[in-house]
Amino acid sequence: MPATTDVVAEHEAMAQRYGEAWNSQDLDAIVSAHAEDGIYQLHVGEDPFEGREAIGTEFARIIAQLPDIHFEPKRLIATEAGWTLESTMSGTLSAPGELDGEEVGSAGAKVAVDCLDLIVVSDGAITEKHTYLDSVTLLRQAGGR
Amino acid sequence: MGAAVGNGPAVMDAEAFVRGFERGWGSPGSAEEAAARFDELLDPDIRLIQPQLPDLVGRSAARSGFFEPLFTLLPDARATVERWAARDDTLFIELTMSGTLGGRPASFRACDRITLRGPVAVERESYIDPIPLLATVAARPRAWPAFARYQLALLRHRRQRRRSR
Repeated sequence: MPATTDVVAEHEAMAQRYGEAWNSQDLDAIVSAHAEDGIYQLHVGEDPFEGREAIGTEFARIIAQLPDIHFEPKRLIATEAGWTLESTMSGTLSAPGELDGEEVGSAGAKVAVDCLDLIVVSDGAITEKHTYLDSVTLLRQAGGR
Repeated sequence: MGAAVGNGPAVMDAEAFVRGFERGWGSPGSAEEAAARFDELLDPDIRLIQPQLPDLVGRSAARSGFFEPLFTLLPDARATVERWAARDDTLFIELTMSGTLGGRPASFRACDRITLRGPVAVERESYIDPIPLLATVAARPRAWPAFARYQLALLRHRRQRRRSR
């Protein structure tokens, strides 16, 4: 069994790789970091996405909507359990989105919001990802109503 | 579940803060009682940052701009710590805030980023999305009076701040 400090260093390195994958919009690299039965939840009142396939579909949608999506790290704490990353998420909207059947946002709108990810890792794979951000600010920046 | 990286005084401070945070949110009571329980955990010049609301500075502002409006909306507000992580002076606490809204239980997840100076918080930024709360209020007409009082409490706080400047 690896020592605690080794596990923390592993998770810190994994966090770096995962962030690089997002910042290069490398969907395969992002999704391969997640466990087959992992979950992803964006805490804006949505149910979690369960399983790597569902997570991959959702991440593909996010990247299609913000093709230059970028996470600028502000604070990272890696632990034995995983890591917590505070960052600024930014990007340019490729097309209007859809919310409850209504079109929201304008193509070309630039967004930048503070974002917090809590990641749980088991056996080298992400088993839980919880994302917290202010979607009201995000919608306002996107040109939504 | 909690984890602090490293050891030494900063880690002990973070662990002590989390215990105090759990005690502070774990006991039912009024806004006044909750604010009093947090006095020892908050620096006199604490800065509270939260989405869609102006920053609050100082314990008095925390009382009138955070605790009072919150307890107006959720009279039995309490929070449980889901997990936490700390390194140096930074502490992240993921929590579930729950209470009674419009006569029925309601709960919301949030994550606080706290900057510690010794055992007290000098800054707290709350990562919470307001939409689930607003959607719950919209779906429960019995919650509308409480939400109106919540907005009034925020307005009262802003007026007090303006007068004191």
